[in-house]
Parts: sequence; C-alpha cells; structure tokens
Amino acid sequence: MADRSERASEKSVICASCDIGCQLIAEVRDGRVARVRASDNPIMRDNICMKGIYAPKSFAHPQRLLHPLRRVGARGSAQWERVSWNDALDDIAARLQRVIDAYGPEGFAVSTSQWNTSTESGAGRRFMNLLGAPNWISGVALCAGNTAAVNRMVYGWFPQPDYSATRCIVLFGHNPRRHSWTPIYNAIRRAQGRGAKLIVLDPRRSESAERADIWLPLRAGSDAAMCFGWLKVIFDEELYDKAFVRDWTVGFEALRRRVDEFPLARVAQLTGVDPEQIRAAARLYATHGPSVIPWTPITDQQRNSTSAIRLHCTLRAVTGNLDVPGGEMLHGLNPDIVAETDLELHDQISETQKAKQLGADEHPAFTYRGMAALTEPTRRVWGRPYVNLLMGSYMANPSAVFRAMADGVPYPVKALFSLGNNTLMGFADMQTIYRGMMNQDLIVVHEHMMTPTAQLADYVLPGDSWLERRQLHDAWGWTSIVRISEQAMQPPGECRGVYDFWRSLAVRMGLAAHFPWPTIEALYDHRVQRTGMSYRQFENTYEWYVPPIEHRKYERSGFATPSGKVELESSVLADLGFDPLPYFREDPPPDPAFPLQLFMGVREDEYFQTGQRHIPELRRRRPEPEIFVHADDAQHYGLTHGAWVAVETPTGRVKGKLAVRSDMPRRLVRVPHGWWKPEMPQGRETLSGAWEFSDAQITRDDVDYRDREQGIPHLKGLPCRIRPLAAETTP
Amino acid sequence: MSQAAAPEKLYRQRVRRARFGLRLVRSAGRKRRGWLDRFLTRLLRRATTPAPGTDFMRDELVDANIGFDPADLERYQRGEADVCRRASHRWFPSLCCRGSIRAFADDRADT
Repeated sequence: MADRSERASEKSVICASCDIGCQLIAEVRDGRVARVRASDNPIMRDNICMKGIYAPKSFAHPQRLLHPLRRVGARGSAQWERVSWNDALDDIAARLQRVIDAYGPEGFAVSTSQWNTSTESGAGRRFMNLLGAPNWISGVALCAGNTAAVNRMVYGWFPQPDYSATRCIVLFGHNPRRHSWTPIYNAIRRAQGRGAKLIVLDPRRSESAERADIWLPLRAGSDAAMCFGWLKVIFDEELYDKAFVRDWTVGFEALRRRVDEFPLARVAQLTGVDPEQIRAAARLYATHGPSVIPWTPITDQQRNSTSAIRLHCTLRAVTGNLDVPGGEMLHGLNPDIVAETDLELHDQISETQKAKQLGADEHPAFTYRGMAALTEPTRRVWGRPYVNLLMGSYMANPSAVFRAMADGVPYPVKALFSLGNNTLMGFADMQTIYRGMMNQDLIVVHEHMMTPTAQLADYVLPGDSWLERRQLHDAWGWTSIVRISEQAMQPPGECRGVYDFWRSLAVRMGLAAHFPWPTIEALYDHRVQRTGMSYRQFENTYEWYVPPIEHRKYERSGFATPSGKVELESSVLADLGFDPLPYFREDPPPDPAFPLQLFMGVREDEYFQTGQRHIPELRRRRPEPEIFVHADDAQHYGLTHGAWVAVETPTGRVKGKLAVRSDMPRRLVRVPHGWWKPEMPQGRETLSGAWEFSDAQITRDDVDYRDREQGIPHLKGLPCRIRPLAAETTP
Repeated sequence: MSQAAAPEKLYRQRVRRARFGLRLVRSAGRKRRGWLDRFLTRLLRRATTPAPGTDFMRDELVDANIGFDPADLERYQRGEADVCRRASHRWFPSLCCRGSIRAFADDRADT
C-alpha cells in the first residue's frame, strides 16, 4: 500500500488510455507516479475510470518495450536485436528513402491516431506533406474523424454538445458508463438530474436504455431509416424551426420529398420499432429542446453511415439546435493557440500527390478530393483553408491502402509506419492487412507493448506514455478549449515521444528547416506565443485555456459550406457524383448460411480498443472475450452459457465465451472489439492470440457492406452464424 | 416549439447563463487563482456536489483507489518474483504483482 504519510507532488495530466481525455491528478513519489486520481476541479468531479487508475501499473509492465528493436529473422519470426535510436533512425531514413525513390512518396503510408500518441502536434502529417505522401490512415476513419468530415459537408464544422444546458439528449446506440466514456456518463446523468430527457436508440437494453425516458430498440444498422422517421414526424407536425430553415438552409423542399418516402409504417418495418414510439421520440426531441445528438461511433460504422450522419446533422439544424446554448456548439479553433491543423502544412503537398490519395476515386468523403470544395468556404468562415477536424478530413481510405499494400493496386505501397495504433487489428479485413504487411519493404511501429502489429515490423520503437510527457491538447478542433498535461515522471528506458521520432527522421531526410523546434517544449513555446507566455508559464497558469465562446456565429459569417448555408441537399456530394440527399440502402437479401446479425466494435469497461489486456487486475475482471446472445438463440443453436463458441462470417471466425444475456434482442450476436492476449506466443503463426480472437477477421469489406461515400465497413448488423466449439479446440 | 423558435428573450437568458458558466469553468481551470477565482470555484463546487446517497459517481473501485507503492512498481517493472504476493495469476505467472487496489471479480459493470 502506498505510504500516505510521504508527501507526494501532484501533476495535472490528461489521460490517453482511451479517447475521452479525462483531466486527472498524478501523485508522484520517488520519481514515479504512484496514484492517479480524479481532478479536484469540480467541473471534472470523479471523472476517472479503472483504465486510468491502473495506468501506473500498465506503464510499469515488465514486458513494456523500453529499447528500440530491429528484426533479425524473417518477418514475423519474433526474433529481434536491440539497437540504438540513432542506428534505428539512420536505417529507417535510408530505407524509407529507397521506397520513395522506387515507388514515389505515395508508396509510404502511416497509420496512427494522435489520441494516444498525443504529442504529435501535427508533426506526422507535416513530415508526410513535405515528402508528398498522401496516404495517412487512422481508426478515426470509422470513429469520429469520418463524422467530422461529413458534418463539414452539411454545415462546415463538427459540433460539440452543450451538456451543461441541454434539456434533451439522444444516444444513437452508444452507452456511456461509469467506467467507459466516464465524463459523458457523468454529464448525461447530471443533465438528467436537472430534468433533461434521455432518448436511447439501441438494439440492446443497455444501462443507458434502462435510464432513458424513451428507449427505441431499433434493428442494428437501421439508424438512417429511424432518422427519416423522426424527420417525417417533425415535418408533418411542423415541429421544425421555420425561420432557421427559411434563412439558413438550402434543399429543404428536396429533402422533404425524400423524407415523404418514409411513412412511419415503412420506418417501423425497417427498424423494427413501433410507430407510436418513433413518433413520441421525435416529438420529444423537437419540442423539449435545446436538444443534442452527441457524436456516436455506432453511426460511424454502418453501410449507410454517411446518410445517417447527415441525417443527424439535419435533425440538429432543422430543429434550431445549431450553435445555441444547450444545443450543438460550433466552437471553431482557439484564436490564441497555433492549432495542430495549421502545423500539418496541407498546403505543401501538391495537387498531383493529393489526387493519388488511395480510395479518393471510389469513396472520397473524407479524402482531400472530398474536402476540396470546402477549402474556400473554410477560409471565409474560419480564416484558414484547411481544417483537419478530429484528424478526419484529409485521410486516405484504410481499406484501399491495405489493398495497395497487399496487391499493388492501383500502385504499390511498400512502407508502413504504425504509431500507437495496432493497425493489423484496428480495421476491417485483418487477412488482407496481414497480407499487405507481409508484402512490405519497411514496417516501423512505435508502441508500448509487442502488439500483433509490432510482431510483423522491421523496427519496434518504444513510445512514452501520457504520464511521461507534456501535452498541449487542442482536441483537434472539436472544442476551442485547450488543456495542458504536465509531465509527471521520466519515461523508462529509452522510451520517446512521437514528436522526437518524426523530427529525428525529418532531419535525416533533409527536412530540418521545416522542423525548427528541437524539442516538443520548443514547439509548444511556438504554439502558445500569441498568449505572450512561454509554454512553461502557460502550463503553470492554466489547466484549461478557455476563449470567449460566441453563439450563432453563422449570423455573422454564414456556414463554411459552398452555399454559406446548412446544405440539407449537399452540393459537395452532388459534385462528387453521389446522391445529394440522404438515403437508406436496405440490407442485401438474407443468406441462409448466416442467419444471425452481428454487432461489432464494442468496448468493454476494462479495455480500450486493443489495449490493456496486459494489466493483471483488469484481466482478472474480464479474462476472455465474451460473446452476448439472447437465451432463445443459445437454446436454438445448442450453446451453453460460459462455453466456448465460434462466430463466423464469410471472411473468417473468432472465438469467445458465450454470455447468455437477457438484455440482448433475439438474432443479434455481440462480439467485443480488439482481443488478443499479450501472454500468448508471439510471431506470425499465433500473433499472441489475434488469429483466434481478433474481431477484425470477421469484418466484411465488400461493396455490399461498406458505405458508398466513405468506404468504411459495416460493423452493425453483418450476417453471421454461431456454433459451439468442441472442447479440444478451445483455448 | 423548437429551441430557436423560442422567444428571443429566452435565448438571450440562455446565452447569459452560458457566459456565466464559462466564467466558472475558467476560474476552476486556473492554477494561479485570485480571490475571485477561488470564490467562484467554491460556488461551482457547492452547485455540483450531489446530496449524500444520490451520488451516481460513487464507485467501489474508484473510491478504494489508494494507489501503488513506488518501490513495488519498480520491482514489478524489473519482473521480480517477490512482488507476486497476492495470488498466482494464470496468464502471467511470473508477472503478477501485489496490487494495492482490490480486484472486484464479480462487480463487472454491464457493457
């Protein structure tokens, strides 16, 4: 037990163990973080979960990567030698240059998410843009980043819900809990305590559904159809904000005609929800405002994702909830801080190279091509041509990149850098990703642990953690509130931050003049210079740096769309060759071989994405992946609670332990995301259990099961089957 | 009637309330606090502290979080067996450690 009599120093830190970013206090004793607890700031009261609490132990794990490693055997043979950072960087720079000389800068791809690497400050995109490399991919392609890009097409920015004053909250499928998305859970419950209404749309009777005023148990993947139903009620009953629609939208009449194609009886048939329930929810949303529809990853991961996201945007707009207190705030960037997006230098990569961005031809929504029409409107309203909101506005399509890695079509990608991002397991179709990785000339991974992705690398570089670095957090433009995270302890071994990695590589590749800041602190000095402070002064003065927030900014400058208004009928999508109105694509005909529906991408309380399985206490709480089904389905397929089962789709199968749950609807199978077991043998044959447990193997990525505009996979409602596993095949 | 169609007066009230809320947020997020910041933060704390028994954020695991012994963490990082005092661990037989936080095997929240 920690000796409470010793005096600990305290640091204000931002947790990066998931993507929420709780502001926490790290208590430091003897040079180590001994305890992480919730902040004293009453705004963030009790915002901590078990992943944050166990972070000191997670980062002290004996198998944490502490030194650079170079592959010495065949790729994936789990044979490594320790090398110095300098030797590693020299060789990486030389080999990357060879790939660029042979295949062009487009032959180099990066997969990362700045959520967990945190100290990028745009350095990775800056490096790539200076090289002319357009193929940056990330999990944000199917989690928030894509939503931000689609929101920009409708009204030019990605809103942040104002929970503090809202009177109605709508959760489309997600389920914030005490130990998952904790601040959102806290904010929703506080709002409910003030009298706000909660509407939950979820096939499963989740905890949030239990607390909701209205629960709509919709069919998985039918979000867009449900939104059409709501709009039908709102339009027919004239519950929309007529003045806003008249003055600030385009395409209302065309949208209304499309909405009329969805009478409630049809919506009920598509969603499986009673029409009167749909009507009641729509009325509550439209009349009990200000209302919010917070961002949800559920809608991000469907074959109708672009339409469903646009319909969320439409609901926000036509009910007058945009940029008003208690509604959906369009913050803009903090005027006093140099934004990450400005440091990325998107004006430095040529139009020729942008045009090579993979996936942009078929699925352009979040690529340079998709965002091109917003360049001038963004300059007009937000004062800069490029705004990489949530990192999601100028991405290559991940699946297209993996196909190029595997098959060289339309051109070869031969170098992959994966930073804080378990690429192999983080996207659809793990089998193609694996083939692509085995076909690379150079793979570099920057990580904490020897993940399945790292096991296939040429170099594995040890990354620092959020307790071991300074961070200036601008939320990638989602809010204008900037926060700081202090360094609480030194990184162990030779662990380094990601900015050091990019800058060191840039210097070796002749780009030193574009990276004039030798350390991340020097870069932060640059980023806060408009405040008149050094970064150290800034850090000592603020925990949050809050600019004035203005409402209804559109009255002054319009919306950052080509028309300057909310585009209910999208000129951007029309110009790209897509239906300018939202639509709903019904499921392909049922396949008798796969009679059940699969709901994937769900996180358990103990783990975020593919992380934390190495923490003993969390593994004791949840030792195995659990697959949820209804009791009737268990009986029908001869499955026993607690027994091992296999879930199969046409692309593969995963194993898990069956959990018969009363909260599950019939015919739905829920598979948790991101399972591998760090204690299992490494190497390409086993990949520490990833071949047995990773849900990325059963994710279809064919044309019927991906969104048309974005090309992201359908994770909510895929056809699947389930069967018991014989005892000898269970782990 | 929807939000923006609400009377302009109500909208202005909400804007004023939001500005005051932002002032509170600013005060609470400052490290170098003047008397006004301290006063406003006290107000905020009072306004946001729930009555006993109604606090939905109370949680056994969080409330029992007393942290780790730095020396234990040091030994854990070195992979020393003598930190395995609590129980052997099926998955990490050589790595399990004496945790200062109780593990609650049966209180897993819904997911």
